[in-house]
Formats: sequence, structure tokens, C-alpha cells
Amino acid sequence: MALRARDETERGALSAEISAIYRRHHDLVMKLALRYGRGQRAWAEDVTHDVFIGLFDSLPTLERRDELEGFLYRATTHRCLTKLRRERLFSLLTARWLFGAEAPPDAEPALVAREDLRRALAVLDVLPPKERVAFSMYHLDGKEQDEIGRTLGHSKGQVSKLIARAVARLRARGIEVPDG
Amino acid sequence: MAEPRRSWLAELREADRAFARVAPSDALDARVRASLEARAERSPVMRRGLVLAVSLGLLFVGLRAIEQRSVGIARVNDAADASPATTPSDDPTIPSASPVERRRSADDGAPRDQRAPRRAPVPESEAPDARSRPSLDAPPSSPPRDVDDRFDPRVPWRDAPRFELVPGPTQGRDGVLHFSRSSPDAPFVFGPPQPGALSLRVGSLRGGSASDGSPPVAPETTPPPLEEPHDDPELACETEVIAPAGCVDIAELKLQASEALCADGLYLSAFDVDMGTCGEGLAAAAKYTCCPPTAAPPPEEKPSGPGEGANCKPLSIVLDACAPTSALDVEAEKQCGEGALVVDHKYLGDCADGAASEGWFTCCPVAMDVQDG
Repeated sequence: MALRARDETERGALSAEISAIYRRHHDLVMKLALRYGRGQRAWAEDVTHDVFIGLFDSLPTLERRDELEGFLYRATTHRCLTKLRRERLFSLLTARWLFGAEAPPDAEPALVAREDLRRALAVLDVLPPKERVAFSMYHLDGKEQDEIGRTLGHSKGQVSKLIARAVARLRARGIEVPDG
Repeated sequence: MAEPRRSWLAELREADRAFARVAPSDALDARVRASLEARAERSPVMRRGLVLAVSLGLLFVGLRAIEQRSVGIARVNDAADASPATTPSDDPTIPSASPVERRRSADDGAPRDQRAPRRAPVPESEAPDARSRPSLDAPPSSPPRDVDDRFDPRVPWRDAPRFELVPGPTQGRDGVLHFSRSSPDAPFVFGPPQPGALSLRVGSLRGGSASDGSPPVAPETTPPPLEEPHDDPELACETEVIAPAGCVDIAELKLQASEALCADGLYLSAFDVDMGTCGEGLAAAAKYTCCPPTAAPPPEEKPSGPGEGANCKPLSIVLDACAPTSALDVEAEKQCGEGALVVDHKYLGDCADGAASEGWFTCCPVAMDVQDG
């Protein structure tokens, strides 16, 4: 009985701590989720919810709480990648015929008021999910290839190839991308 | 050259900054709060238990479904196996014959005198009385009955097929009423015990309705009747129907009818079973007739041995175990008493040669000429 009460108390404290983390770091998670979700609020809020609820299991195992931002960055990126890949599967021709999936919508004007910004986001859609994430982490977030590799579960060489392939794909469509 | 494209990346960074300023909606706040509270209330153990319970439930449902499907297949197979015996006609409006009826159908279509005898025929001259010959045949007018209607109200019982035990050569004898699975046309036979047959022991079988002239069954000696005969047994006969829930062994039904249901002074004279959809040896219902003692045929005039005549009495000795026939003879002579002679004997029982567990004897008074001789 005492163990159960202590367990309930600990879980209550953990819930309160995660609520505090959510209030402090939701902007980081929402920013990444909106980027990979092409500016769709519902898409991004689903990811944000899952990331913070996932903390319930992950936070007790996190040794250093000062690395929480890095943890949230990796967790959000990973969840976005998983969601993008799932959507890509359903967007294949056969799956679209079966399930009636439609092309991803543009960014919501309420979130991205400028048309040029919405077009810039749409450019990323030409990239496969993993290339899109690797390219964004490298060119937008300034992450090193080692860190990108740890997040995506690939080696540095594989990350380099992913980025190079993404750049080549963009350039093939007439989009100029600066070197390294 | 790269300047305009640098602006594309700059636009993406500017979009990121715009996204960072997006405040979460109230719906997201409430959703996250509710989920955290739910997780705080449910411990991991409870969650694992819930998952385990749901998994076991699904497994149970799946197993039940598989089991029901298997039972269904088995029932279909059973129905397919039983269909030739229970549904001879696809037309439900056409009455189907019961298994008992179908066994008779080959003969019922022909006149009685053209039917193949079910037992070794006895010449008419040797029969004591055609009216009293034991017969297990059904009346020729028996109509077919519906399989599903165990007792079709449209078919009078009087017209329904039935097996009858009639007085005949066995009247007044101690004997055994057999139920023979091997001869379904005549399942009840009066006579000595037979190995492998269900038997109903009767002290003295008397009574029965009139015979229809079928071949006799095991004619034996004809001792005189032990009781006053009844002139018109049909008037005093009582007919009852036993319809227990489910299928009951025919021998058990027969036993109930004979021992428990026939009133004192009446004797089981007719017994008809309706097998319905029951298996072999089982019946869904039975109709039996108890009758008072009936008139017996006159004893056959024949040359007799010393003392054999109207005053002879049967004697049956039943032992718990096999014993030498000589011991049975000694016991028979002892029970016949002085002044009587054992003139006939029959040894029964599943014993070795020279031994028996049961003996039938006839005790007759010692005739004067024998004594003189």
C-alpha cells in the first residue's frame, strides 16, 4: 500500500515536472514540428503532444536534465521523420488509390503570412523524408554531420551522402543550394 | 548567382523564426494536461496489466471462435453422416419413415403371404394355433410417419407399427425377454438367455394381443396356463406412452414398462419404440400395452413321456456361477420333490462344457405305468 502511494506520488511529481517542461520548451518542439509539417498546426500539435507525453517514460532515464533541449530536439526530429515516412508510404500511387490520400496542403496563412515563405517551405517537399530532415538539420539548424548521424541512426558518411543527394535533387529542380 | 538561392534558405530560417513564435493552442494545452494526468493515474504495472487483460480477452475470443467453428464442422459432419438415415426425402412435406419404419419398408409393400420369412417358418400343422403364434411383425397397414414427429397425431396409435408379444408356446414358461440388436425387425424375443443380448427376465410371460399370423418364434413345449385366461384382452389392455427427455436405451425403456408401469395383474404385451433421431439401441419414446392374461391355446396332443401332461410344471434354477450340470440335476430333482420326475432339461449360461449357470427343467408327476414299469 505504501509502495503504491509512493508510486502515485512519484508519478504525480513527474507529471508536474513534464508540465513545467512543456511550458518552457514547447516553442522549440512546435518550431521543428511546424517546419517538417509544412506549417500545418494540427500536424505539429500532434507531434508536440506525443513528444511531451513520451517524456513520461524517457525523463526518469535522462541522466542530465541540462541536456533536455538536445533531447527534445532529437525526439521531435525523430518523431517528425517517422510521421513523414508514414505519410510518404500512404502517398504512394497504389496507396493513394486505395486510401484516397491527397497531396500535402500548403502552410496555413495564419501561421506563415508571407507567400514567399510558404513557397520556400513547399520546396522541401521535393525531398524524401530522411533527406529533408538531414538537409534541414545541416543547413537550417547548423548541426554537425556527427550529431545528425546520431539523431538519425546513421554514420557520418551516410549523413554526408544524404545531404549531397538532397542538394543534387534540389539543384536538378533549378534550386540553387550553397556548398557545405 | 547563389545570392537569390541564399534568400531561399533565408526564407526558410525566417519561417522557422515565425514558427517559434507560434503559441500552442488551448486545445493542445488541455490535451497534454489530460494525457499527463491519465499517465499519472495509471502506473506502468496497471498499463501492462490492462494490455495483458485485453490480449487475453482477444485470445479467448479467438479460441472460442475457433472452437465454435470446429463444433460446427463436426455437427455438419454428423448431419452428413446421419442424413441418409434421417432425411431420405428432400421434400419436407413428404412424410419420411422412421428408422423402424424403413427397416420394414421392404416387406410392407408386399402382401404378407409374399414376404420373406424373418425366421425359419414352421409348418402350419405344427403350429399350435395360428392366432397365438408369437409375432413381432407390424400390421401391414402401418403408415409412414414423419421423422420429426415422434408421435404424429395424424396417425392413430392403433395403426402405428408395433411389436407384439402374443401368447403361444412360451406361455406360462419362465424365460427371458431378449432385446436383440442384431435383428432389428424383431428386437424382442422370448426364450432362453443369449450371450450379448439385453434381456428382461420375466417370471411367467402371459398375455398379449392377437397374432397376425406371422411365423412363430422358438416354439417350445406348451405347459398349461397357470391362470384363468381372459376372454377379450383388447378390452382390458392399457396403452401408455413413455417419452423421456432425450434418448434412452431401449432395454431401459422396456424394463420401465414391464416392471414399473404395468399394473398388477397385467403383463407387457406390446412394446413399440420410436427411435426418432436417436442412435442404434436408443429410442426417443416408447408405447407399450399392458394386458391381462389371455386365453391360451389348447395343449398340443402328442405322445408324452412318463407323467408329462397337464400337471407338469416348469422349473428354472439360476445360479450365481457356473456349476456342473449334474449339480443342477440334483437340485432340480430336489425341487421337483418326491412323486415328480424331471422329464426335460436345458442348460444355459456362458460356461464350459459340462457346466451351466442356469437350468430349465420340467417336473411331471410320476405316472402309474412308469411306477409300475
